[in-house]
Amino acid sequence: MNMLTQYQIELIHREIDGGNNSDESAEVRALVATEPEAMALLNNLQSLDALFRQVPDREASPRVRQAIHGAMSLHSRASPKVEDAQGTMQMITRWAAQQLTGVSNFMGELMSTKKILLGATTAVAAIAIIGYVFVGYPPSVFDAGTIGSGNGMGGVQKAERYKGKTAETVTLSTPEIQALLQNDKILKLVRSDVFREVMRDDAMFTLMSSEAYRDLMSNEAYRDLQSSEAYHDLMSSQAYRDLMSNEAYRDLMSSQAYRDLKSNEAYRDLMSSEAYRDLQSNAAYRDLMSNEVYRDLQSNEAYRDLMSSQAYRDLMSNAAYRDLMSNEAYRDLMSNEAYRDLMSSEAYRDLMSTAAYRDLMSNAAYRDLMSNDAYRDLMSSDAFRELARDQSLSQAFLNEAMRDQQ
Amino acid sequence: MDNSPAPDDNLDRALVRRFLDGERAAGDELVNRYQRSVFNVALRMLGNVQDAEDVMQTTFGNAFEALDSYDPNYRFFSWIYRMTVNESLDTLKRRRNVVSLDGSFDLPATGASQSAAEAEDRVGKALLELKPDDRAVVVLKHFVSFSYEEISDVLDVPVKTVKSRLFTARERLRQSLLVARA
Repeated sequence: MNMLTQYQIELIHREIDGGNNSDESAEVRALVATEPEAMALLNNLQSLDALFRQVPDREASPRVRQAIHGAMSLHSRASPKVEDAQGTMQMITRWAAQQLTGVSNFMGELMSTKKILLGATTAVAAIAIIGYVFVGYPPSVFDAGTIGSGNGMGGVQKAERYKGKTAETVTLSTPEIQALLQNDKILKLVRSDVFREVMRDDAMFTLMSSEAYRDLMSNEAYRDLQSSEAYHDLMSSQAYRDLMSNEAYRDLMSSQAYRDLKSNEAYRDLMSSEAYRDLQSNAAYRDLMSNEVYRDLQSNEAYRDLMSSQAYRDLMSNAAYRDLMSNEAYRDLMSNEAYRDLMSSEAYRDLMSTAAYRDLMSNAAYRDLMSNDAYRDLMSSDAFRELARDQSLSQAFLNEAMRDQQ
Repeated sequence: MDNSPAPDDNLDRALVRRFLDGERAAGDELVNRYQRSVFNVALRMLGNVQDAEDVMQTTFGNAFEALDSYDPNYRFFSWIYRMTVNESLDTLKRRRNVVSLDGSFDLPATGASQSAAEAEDRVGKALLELKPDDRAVVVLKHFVSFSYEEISDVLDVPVKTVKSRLFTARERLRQSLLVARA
């Protein structure tokens, strides 16, 4: 068999690509008529081309496309909306920080009221702010007109995403956020698989977009809690940071018992029960939390109501709950002074009695989040824990969250 | 399958000018014209939807941020595809520092027919076995239907290099997709 020359091979390739003139095409036809190898090559290339044509065109997700169009506002030089958009971006940034803290607060709060763990608070907040800025959600909040409605800012976050890559291109309005976005720990978190999983998670997205969650974010008692000394103490406590690196905590977060508890009806009933809320606001109970007068509690009416409630009894008989109660990380938390301060704070008690809190507790999106594998994986990931352990980062997030509340 | 927009330099230039004059809708139209093909170029370069979406957003973000400095003597589509390919190559480099590619190909299922899905899977895996520079030429040729000259323009390499890379890559694809399978 004669080997084809390089020229002949290229001639056949060009025929496939439509790059030959009429003379060259005639040359190809003559070649394949006389050279079986040329015929085979031509047939192969045609098959290859046909195979490529079978590959379907793909579409990016609507959210990404929306984000690109939304980012347009930032670049439209003469648009009368630019100034407005930039102002909105600042609001969004702060809002995101607040969301961030909010998620962590309520996760922590859920845990603490259940005497489980008040953990991962500020670091969890990182999910929302980083997720928002880097990945781009929740746009629906803005679409709904809560912030910056009508100015196409639903996708502004994406422009910030790539801007966050290099110091010279960061244009986010607050220095704290700029610093955060250039922080190695945050970048490490953002690049982690578990973070991306959470960012893609529908439950998280739904929660952020829910009416109940937004109510919560605008709740005065909640803001009081965020600005409380006790909360700050907790965030900066060694116990909190230890907790984040605690093996028991990681085990707890990924345990079936924890997941089961989160989806347990009795547990949710208890969380939203009047008796339980009364107990939370009872001074004797707070003393108990400080490991002092337990006997007073025994004679307290709210406590007795709780004890005799069906929800409480159901919970007590739940294996997942019992497993949790015997968890070492949980017990460490119970002995943490900052945690006890928080439990006895006015702001915390106010929060427990808010309708927004009750809404959250019964919010399906929130429950989904709490029992979400990706979320728990993130909570126990090294990148996340490293972020959570960093006191300066925690403080930066808190400061940013506080800014919007002043 | 190629659904890329027919290059229309005058239209693109007009849209750029109108956008820079403050007409946001012109920017939207530019995005609409190119987002699908930009995404598909990135997708075929990377084999991963999430990464391709990242590249797509970054590309458009960079493009609109730099639109002030865009030279209308250059073709807009060359400019946007060049950014897409470069961003994809950067993503591959970053990814290589984290995990080995191992020919991994990560695409969720779509409503495409079985034969189309199979073709996508086979072609996707074979593309990832190519060197990135060669892959870029194949993608621009077969998924955007560019001429040698247009590919040369996008990649900023001589036409001769385009042909060389394309023929070499296609020979490898022919071996992996057709000959080895026969």
